[in-house]
Amino acid sequence: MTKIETHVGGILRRIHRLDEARFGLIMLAPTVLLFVVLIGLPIIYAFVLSIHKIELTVSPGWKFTGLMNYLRVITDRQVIASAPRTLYFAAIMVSFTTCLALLLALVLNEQFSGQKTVRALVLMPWAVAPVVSGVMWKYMFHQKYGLINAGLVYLGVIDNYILWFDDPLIALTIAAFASIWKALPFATIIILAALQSVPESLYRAAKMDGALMWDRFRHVTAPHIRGIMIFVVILQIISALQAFDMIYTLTRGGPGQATVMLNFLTWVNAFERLSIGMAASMAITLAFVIMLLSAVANNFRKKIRD
Amino acid sequence: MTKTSKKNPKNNPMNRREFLKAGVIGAAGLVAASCAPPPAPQQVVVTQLVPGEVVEKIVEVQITSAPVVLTKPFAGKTLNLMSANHHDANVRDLWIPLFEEKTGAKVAYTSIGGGDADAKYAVFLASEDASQDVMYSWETFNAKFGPGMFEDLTTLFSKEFYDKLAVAPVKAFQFLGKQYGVPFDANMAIFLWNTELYKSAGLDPEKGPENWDQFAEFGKKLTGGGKYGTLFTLGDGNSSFFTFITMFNSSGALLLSDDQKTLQMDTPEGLLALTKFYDGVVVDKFIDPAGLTINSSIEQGKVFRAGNLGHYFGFPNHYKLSQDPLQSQVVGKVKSGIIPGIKLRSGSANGFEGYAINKNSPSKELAMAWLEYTVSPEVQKWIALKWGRPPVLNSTFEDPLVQADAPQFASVVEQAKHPAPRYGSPFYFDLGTVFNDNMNVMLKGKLTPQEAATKIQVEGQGVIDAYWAKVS
Repeated sequence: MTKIETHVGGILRRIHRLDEARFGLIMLAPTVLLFVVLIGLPIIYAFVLSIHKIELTVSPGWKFTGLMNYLRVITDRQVIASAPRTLYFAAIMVSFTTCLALLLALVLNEQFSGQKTVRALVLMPWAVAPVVSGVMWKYMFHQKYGLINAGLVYLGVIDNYILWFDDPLIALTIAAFASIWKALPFATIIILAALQSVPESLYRAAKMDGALMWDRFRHVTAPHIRGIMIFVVILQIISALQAFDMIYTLTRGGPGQATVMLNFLTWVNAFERLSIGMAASMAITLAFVIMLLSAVANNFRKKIRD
Repeated sequence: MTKTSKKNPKNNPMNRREFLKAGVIGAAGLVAASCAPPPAPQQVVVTQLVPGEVVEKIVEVQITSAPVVLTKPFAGKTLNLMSANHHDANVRDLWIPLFEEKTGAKVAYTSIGGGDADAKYAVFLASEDASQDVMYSWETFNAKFGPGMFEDLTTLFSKEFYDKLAVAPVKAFQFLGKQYGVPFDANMAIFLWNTELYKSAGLDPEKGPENWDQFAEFGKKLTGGGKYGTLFTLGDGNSSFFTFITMFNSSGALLLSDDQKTLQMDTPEGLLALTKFYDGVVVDKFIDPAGLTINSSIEQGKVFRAGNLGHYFGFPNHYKLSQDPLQSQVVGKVKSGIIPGIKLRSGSANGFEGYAINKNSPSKELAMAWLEYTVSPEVQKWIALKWGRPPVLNSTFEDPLVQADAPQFASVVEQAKHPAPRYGSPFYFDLGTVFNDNMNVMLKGKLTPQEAATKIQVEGQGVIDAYWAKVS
């Protein structure tokens, strides 16, 4: 037996003698280490940035300012203006994505010919890179060469091309629907997985009791997928509050600042104004809001489950 | 059993006898070479790039062995160059090969979208990145990134070097008294018109309008049948600001005070420029409203080249593009002149571009050689003839070939006599957003030009004050 083999054997024997708790900790250690390095440290670093004044257009120096940046965040004119836009965007995105995903999942849960092909097709938007989908939607609604305008003129719905991105509300709504298109497949797949876990016997029993389709959905399907639906809502809230790539490629915040939302504003502060401290405090605040909303929703999910 | 074949070198390893034979031949060759007389020194012309100026000089090169190897000052070194993707066809395909040939250096070229550059630069600045030696720049980048990321070139290049270049572009690459880059062109908006549409509208195709009112009159006649008199870009802060100052610069006033601390928008000139613009879009409707969602002069040029615009304020290279049958439907139907002014005869806004050196670059001498190279006569001639942009090297304008091949430069020379400040600053994008926001609202009829001017003044001054407060 070589020295190495003896050494490894010794380690294995020691591991074997460990109690369950210690063994579990050792098994978790690599993951915890990765988590600390890849997630924990950046969060701590972001927090450290957020309590400093760092204005890179002026100098690379850091100046400790305590919570001043956070005060600036909650009193900033642009933050206040972008909050309702973010809420509008989130409301549209969360409600439509959840409802459409549920409908789509219900359809995909049924047996029909070509079901597998349809399922694969539904996944396609999810596979498209966010920036690519942003550019694609931008050209779909292009004021001069857009497919939407050309189609509407061809069908006689409009006479002249519409400047879709000229109207603040329309621009924001287009951005929301483009984001829904991108988010829909993932939400659908999650709900579909939940639907497939509902025991078939319950449906058969309900049918024998004379339950109609709506009744079966209400009394069998809904209670089973309620938890996952709340999970989908949480995911969509997070996704909507973090919206950036679609906005960047589609409208770049315009017209004016009509589609500038909280996360986009964080980017503006970091990369256009080079106000790193302010941007970090915005990012931390937004993360806090997301965590808070997630906690509330999760709590609600637990209450329902109990 | 494997057979060894004499024809197959893989299976026919050199035997001891052959090895000795090869060794003897090699040794004999070495002895013969060392006994031969050294070759006589020869004179060859090489381009030696040294900080200070590009010098073409005759140097004596001791040729010690054949083949001839020229001394290349940066042989074996690599220049990391970051440029905008609208430079690719020129910088990557033309300039770099010659630079590599002259200096012996390799150029690692990265191109980025002009609109995305500031985000990338922000990351470079924050991380004190040294991966790029030379970086694309323009007036606002010099102001925004200069102090933190670009090398101060004020004294690194000689006065004679700067004196050879057009004054305005060199000045545009300064911020707070420091030179943060070297421009490679003297780009500024001029006036371009479609002679065929002029003829159809009953206008003299040889003559552009001489003032804004005439421009508006022509515009009204040119509008109809899906075509518009003109198009201005207002799709984002940068394009809105550029559009506005191109007009405003012919009003005879300055938009920002010299120290860049005071916005002078709530003035008769500011109101006049906004009113003229408002009238063009809302009242007379000769300005294509599609411009409200277009943020790039490249897109604007495409509309013109499709034959859908009577005239517009465009960059000189748009003239060259309009003469390319692959990209244009108006070949041979375009003339250039100077921009019709509101109060003055004319005014414009610059689009100077150039390069800066990354402060953290480990290859500053090579980076300087690149900057010098971009303003060398040969590259400047390419800029004029291949790109269609006005060169920054004064002497290139006098080149008969340039004068003959690029008629738009006569307009540039004339245009350069009129104001064309761009007001590049660290707060440029924020200020532009204020203009963009309020001009958009005004054009929807929700603000009068006076209200818009007042709002821009208040909000814009707020942006400027906020920046200077940060500095202090």
